[in-house]
Amino acid sequence: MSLHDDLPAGVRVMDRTVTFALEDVCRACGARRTVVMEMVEYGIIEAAGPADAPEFHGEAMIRAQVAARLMRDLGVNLPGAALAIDLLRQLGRL
Amino acid sequence: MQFKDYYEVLGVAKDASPDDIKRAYRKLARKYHPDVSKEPEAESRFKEVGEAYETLKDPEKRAAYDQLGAGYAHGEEFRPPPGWGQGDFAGGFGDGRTGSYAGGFESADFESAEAFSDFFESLFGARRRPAGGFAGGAPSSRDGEDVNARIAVTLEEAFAGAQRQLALDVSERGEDGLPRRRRKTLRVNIPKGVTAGQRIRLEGQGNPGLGPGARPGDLYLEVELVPHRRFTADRGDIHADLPLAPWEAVLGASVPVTTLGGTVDLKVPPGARTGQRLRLKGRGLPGKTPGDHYVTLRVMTPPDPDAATRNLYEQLRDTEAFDPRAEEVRS
Repeated sequence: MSLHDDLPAGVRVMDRTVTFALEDVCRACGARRTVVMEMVEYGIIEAAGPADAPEFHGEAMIRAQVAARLMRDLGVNLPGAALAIDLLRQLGRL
Repeated sequence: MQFKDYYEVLGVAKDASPDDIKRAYRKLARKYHPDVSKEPEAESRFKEVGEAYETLKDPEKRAAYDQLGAGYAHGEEFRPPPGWGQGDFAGGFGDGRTGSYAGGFESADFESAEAFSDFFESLFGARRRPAGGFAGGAPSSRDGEDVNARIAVTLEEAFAGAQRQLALDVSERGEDGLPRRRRKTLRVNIPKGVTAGQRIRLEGQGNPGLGPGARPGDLYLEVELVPHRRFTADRGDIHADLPLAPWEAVLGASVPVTTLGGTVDLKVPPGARTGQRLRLKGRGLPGKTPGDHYVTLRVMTPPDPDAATRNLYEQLRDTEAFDPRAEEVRS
């Protein structure tokens, strides 16, 4: 039994032990598939699993959401969002 | 409701040019963006700044706002004139693709999310999401927005897990189709082992969806650890000071150490020094790989030694050749 097996249905700790499908990440970010896959190319998030059905862990999903908000709210492009995410991680904020 | 002086919010003059307004917005948006800002009240300031920009960047809205707001000061009690809201701005505006908070940048790649304040919506109506957005629903149906909130958790709760009652405001549509806020109370399970900055997702507990088949949004709770009087946490590891008597440091000792899981005995080796760190493996926060509990040794001196103790220290002084400053003298 893992640490969070006793949580009620629908409650997840967004760490590396939980995984989400591409559609879940798109929905959580309010972003198109192409944008999410570009986030992978820019190193904002990592994908696992087969190329036609990639999976993302919980921390990646949160980073994708932050990147999407930065792009949407501040008008930064993907390289800018990737840089901001790197800096936030270095500061221990992500 | 209180009047919001959007010029004051953006820090621009009433006759500011569109470029001045855009510059002020961009600067403040960077400063208060909730994902990057450490400013207090960043989220509410960011939304306010976004609303101000949404209003002042649009000549029509700006003119309407100027007309309505003449004579009002920031924070003053405000009520829209009778009949307001029947015209161009009633029932929403735009296509909703401008951002997760008010005033964001236009992009076809994203959907909108957050609602505006009551003040803004009383002037210009509610933001509408694009018909049939990502979810592909019919124009009359749309998924609810995700809600982000913070939850303060004590280290004890993070260690053992806990249940908490949480109240938050969600946006929903009333029977009249107009947006309204509703206070929602939730019983939240704090999973054991959560760390600062980690998010807990509660599926379907965000804003309700609209129309048949629409899914409610999710609730994301960002964990904030309440400062502890004795411990600090670094992800799953716990750090604390461990005071030692001089003789314990010199001779070594087995000393009781308080951890989140209870008291354990720690063997301090002879010759221990202030600043040395010792590790109690796996005694930090629980996790797939449990964190460790680190103690930093602090050699303390008796605050008010009696005559006998002083005498013993005097004997030490006269017989012990140890010079703690020998290194400094040589260098």
